[in-house]
Amino acid sequence: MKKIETFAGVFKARGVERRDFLKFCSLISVSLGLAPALVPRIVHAMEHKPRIPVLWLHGLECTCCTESFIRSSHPIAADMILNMISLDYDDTLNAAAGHQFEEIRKQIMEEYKGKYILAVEGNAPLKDNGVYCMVGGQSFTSMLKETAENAMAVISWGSCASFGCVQNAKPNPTGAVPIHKIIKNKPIVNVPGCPPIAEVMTGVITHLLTFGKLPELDRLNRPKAFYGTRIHDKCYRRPFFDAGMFVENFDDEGTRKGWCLYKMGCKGPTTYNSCSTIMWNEGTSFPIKSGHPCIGCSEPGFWDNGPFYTRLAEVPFVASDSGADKVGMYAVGAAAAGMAVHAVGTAIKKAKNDSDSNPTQEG
Amino acid sequence: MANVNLVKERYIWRLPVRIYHWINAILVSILFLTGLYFASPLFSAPQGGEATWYHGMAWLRYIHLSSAYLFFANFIFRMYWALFGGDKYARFGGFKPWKFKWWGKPFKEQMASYLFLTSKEPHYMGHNPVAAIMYFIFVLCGSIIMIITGFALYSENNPGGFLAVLFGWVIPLVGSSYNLHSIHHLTAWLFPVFFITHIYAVVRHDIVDRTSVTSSMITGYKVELEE
Amino acid sequence: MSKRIVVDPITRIEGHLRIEAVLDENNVIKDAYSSGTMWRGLELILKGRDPRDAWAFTQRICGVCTTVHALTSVRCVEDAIGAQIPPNARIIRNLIDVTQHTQDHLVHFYHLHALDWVDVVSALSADPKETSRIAQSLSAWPKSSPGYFKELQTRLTKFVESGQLGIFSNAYWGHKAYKLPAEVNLIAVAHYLEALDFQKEIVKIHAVFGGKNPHPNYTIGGMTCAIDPNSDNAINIQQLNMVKKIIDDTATFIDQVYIPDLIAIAGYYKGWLHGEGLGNYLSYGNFPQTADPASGLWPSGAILGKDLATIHEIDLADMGQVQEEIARSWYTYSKGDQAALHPWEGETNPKYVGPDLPYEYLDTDHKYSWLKAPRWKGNPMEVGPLARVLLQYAKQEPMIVDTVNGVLGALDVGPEALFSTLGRTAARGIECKQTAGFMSKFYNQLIDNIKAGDYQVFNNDLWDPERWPKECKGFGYTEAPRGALAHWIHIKDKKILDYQIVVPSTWNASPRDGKGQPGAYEAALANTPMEDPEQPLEVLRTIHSFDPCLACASHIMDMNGNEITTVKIV
Repeated sequence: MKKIETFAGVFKARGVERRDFLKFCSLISVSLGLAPALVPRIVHAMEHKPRIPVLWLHGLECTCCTESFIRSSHPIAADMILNMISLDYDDTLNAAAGHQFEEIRKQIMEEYKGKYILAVEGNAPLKDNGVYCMVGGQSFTSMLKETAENAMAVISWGSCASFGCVQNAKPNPTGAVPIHKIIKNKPIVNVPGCPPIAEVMTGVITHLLTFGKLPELDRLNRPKAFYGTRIHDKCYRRPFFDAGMFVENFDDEGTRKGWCLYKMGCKGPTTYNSCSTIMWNEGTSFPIKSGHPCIGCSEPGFWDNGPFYTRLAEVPFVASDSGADKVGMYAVGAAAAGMAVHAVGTAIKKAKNDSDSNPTQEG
Repeated sequence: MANVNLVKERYIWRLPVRIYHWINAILVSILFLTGLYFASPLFSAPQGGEATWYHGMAWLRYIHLSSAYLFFANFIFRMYWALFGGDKYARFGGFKPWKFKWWGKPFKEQMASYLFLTSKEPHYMGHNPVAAIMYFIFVLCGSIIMIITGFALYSENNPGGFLAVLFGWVIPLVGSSYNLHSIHHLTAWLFPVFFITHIYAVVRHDIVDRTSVTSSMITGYKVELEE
Repeated sequence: MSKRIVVDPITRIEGHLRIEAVLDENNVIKDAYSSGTMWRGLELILKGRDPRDAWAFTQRICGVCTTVHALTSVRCVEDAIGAQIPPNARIIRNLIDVTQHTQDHLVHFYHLHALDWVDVVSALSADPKETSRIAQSLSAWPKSSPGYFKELQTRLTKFVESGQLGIFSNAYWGHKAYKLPAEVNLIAVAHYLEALDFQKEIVKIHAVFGGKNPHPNYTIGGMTCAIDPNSDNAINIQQLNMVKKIIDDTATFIDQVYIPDLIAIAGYYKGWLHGEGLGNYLSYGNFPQTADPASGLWPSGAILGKDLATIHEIDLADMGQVQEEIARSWYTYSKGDQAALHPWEGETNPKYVGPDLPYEYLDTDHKYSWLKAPRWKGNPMEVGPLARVLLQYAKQEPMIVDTVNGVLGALDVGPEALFSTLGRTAARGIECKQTAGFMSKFYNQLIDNIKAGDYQVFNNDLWDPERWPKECKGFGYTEAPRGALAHWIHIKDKKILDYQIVVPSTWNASPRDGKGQPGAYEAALANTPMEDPEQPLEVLRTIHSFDPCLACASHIMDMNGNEITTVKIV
């Protein structure tokens, strides 16, 4: 006899109480806009249905998210895709191609209405009817909308899906927009980073499987568990910052002593991510540890906050090479010059007034 | 030169206004300079020894943040005085730039005078309309932007904390933490621009009107003149 | 009666690729058309930015072959401004690069390619004891007991019986073109999972030197990863030990798992020698041993018409050599669509003229791809491991000659078997063995330098853009896992004026050119018989043997052209 592993079974095996499981089911019904009366049916479905199917779409992207995902060390990717979820549709790993591959997506959308997770890597170009990203003869944008229709929740992998990333940088030639600008009626979890840390990616999914609910999100819809605080606030080089001990160039004493990279343009103080705690590749290192300033890859619009090796970005709409200080100094200079000119004007006027009102005094 | 007579000294700037003014001037200077240093630290700590021996940036940060709280308190105090103080020269009173009428004759005359379009120098005991709009943009709006963005920045230390609840919404509003820093930094430059304009205008009025406007911010008295 | 099949999306690749093929009445492919269906316009995005940031932008072209664009970009900018990097930086870059090659080839073989040859479902009926016997006859890899295979088979059975096949859903299991016995299938599935776990170890080398993988960090003028054996906050012996261990483990995995599997699997398919393709091969060379970029361990050169006796020299600065055509691509040129432009004078004016969406077929008689058609002296070229191995073979590089002859001997086939889909796959494995050796070589070079007291990894001389020439041009190149890759830059007033790239997969996946010459995929697919046109396994085999990377191919970064300014205004 076939033993089908169900959602309920997976939850139970992971020690989730039935109470929490029921809560999870009602959460789903709320997210789908279903009447409360339908909750028991969802409970039934979840108890008898298998592992959560995941449809993983690829839009305008570079596949670094998938690559990062398979770098996960706990859980390892194989465990994830064989035992925890059912990764039914993923361009990078699926054996099937072409229409057989597309059939899987259609089948899951139909059979698991409201019970599958849509994971999106990359984003959608809106310009020119979406011709800049086409899958199976269809625009990626329409495919995304279609697949989101019956999804339980959407996970936006990486900075592309979460915030737009590189193709969305100025001047955004393809009109690429993040997923939440297209899908409005589903719970969306943003997992930014270029790419996100492997264990953060698997962590988001296992959080759902283990605790029976989506992780708590912050104001930008990022899981607080991984994007709660800035890299700077938990950086092991922070004492050097507080002390004012800075790397001045990549070949100096401070570099070899591991001082703070703030003056090399490190974006750690404005970047929310777990790099300085979880670190990368099973805790091997992270950019700051390898001596390179953080470029802020998990922040909205970070590509346009360049140049990366300066603290202050160019101020938009003013001129190139225009940090805030430069703009400020020019403004102060202009004010001073303006006042000086005005002073001269005042002096002339005063002299004129005086001579007008008292013409005889001079002579 | 026109003959003028000193008519009388008039008490214009009451003590709360003067106190606010000078505290504000000191705090803004501290905030601006520490803030600038913060964004691009000029000096490095002495080499050698452990990082925990030095606290240069931490101290600077402490000074900036505590000054910011004082600045905020001082600002609130001035707002109270402006709204409820009953001080003719310090309250918002007639300042209604959202009304078309406010931009009428007095403003135009003052503007014309500043632009040398007329030889007439309008006289005001308190703020003239052009000065009022300057204070509105640079001091009131500038301060409010700095306070809101400043608290939002400070709240980043403790996500989910009291300040984050109050001001955390600013980050999504401006797009990112980085943008928030940039706005705070850029807006800070309003103050030196204002400083120069303000000092110039005060000195100029002193010379042109001879209303002792400079010393009035210390003594509170302006002189009224009559031709 | 001919019929047309469409495979879109092609899976187990990077990016979005569509293949349309016309079959004759015997189900033999007559004509194939390769279409890149994605364009991101990074060339417009890069303009006006700080050249020191270009590596990060170009790196995001691709996350699978992460690092190769960043490396090429820093070489390109350094060439333009005339910056020199310290020997340690060169060695570390080589080490990161060669690590990428090794890991990428391994992932490609098992996770992107193996399922074209391996029937996962068939593994369920394997006999664990027999599997163990075969495995032990292939290599000394310790995970080969009957118990190990039994346990795996049980897990696999449970997985299949769950009814949720996940990534194995709806594939071509039981297809007649699968030839492996159940036991070999089971070995391959075991190693699929082991390799999935092991690949993440290899790239930890990237994390040590570049902070993270995917997308490790580079910088103009060297590397930022300070080395100081007497600092607790720089790369010291602890991290070097980690690198050393990974290198040793990697060599073991390649020798004991990848190569034996490759030979075992290929043995069952040596009758399937389709997919020869163009017979023209191009490689730029890589792994420079001195400050001279041409001092690479991998040689540069071009081979035309399978003639290994004549190696043509290549020059990336020669306006008549590398050129891009757009006669069949969704772009326009101001000089007319028949023009062939060297990257220095290239243009990127996207103009989609394909069918309205959604469509069933592309108009392959006209324009049909977002990829341009790069040509070398007018010839379509194949790039990648096969090109590199053939070039080294032709130049009598001893390690390659020995390994190639060894593999050909083990399979009992002649050298002509190299010119095929299987040859391409075998070349990748052979090269992977070589790159695993290079990892060790570069590591030892680094250790020798550190021993000699040289810790420098960064040269600050030209860090400040104030010291750059007012206007300069440069190019940088490398051999990416998928083949020849080059970037060209034009810097003016400290900013990027123009930036452009010609990418391996653009060579391989290119559409037809103005003369109607097909690209490498298209040529390789021609004359391939298909068992079942509904299940295009053979198409996947040949396409996968090139290891397509479409995000790379279709980023299209090119020089100037007035259109760019127009687009900017819009």
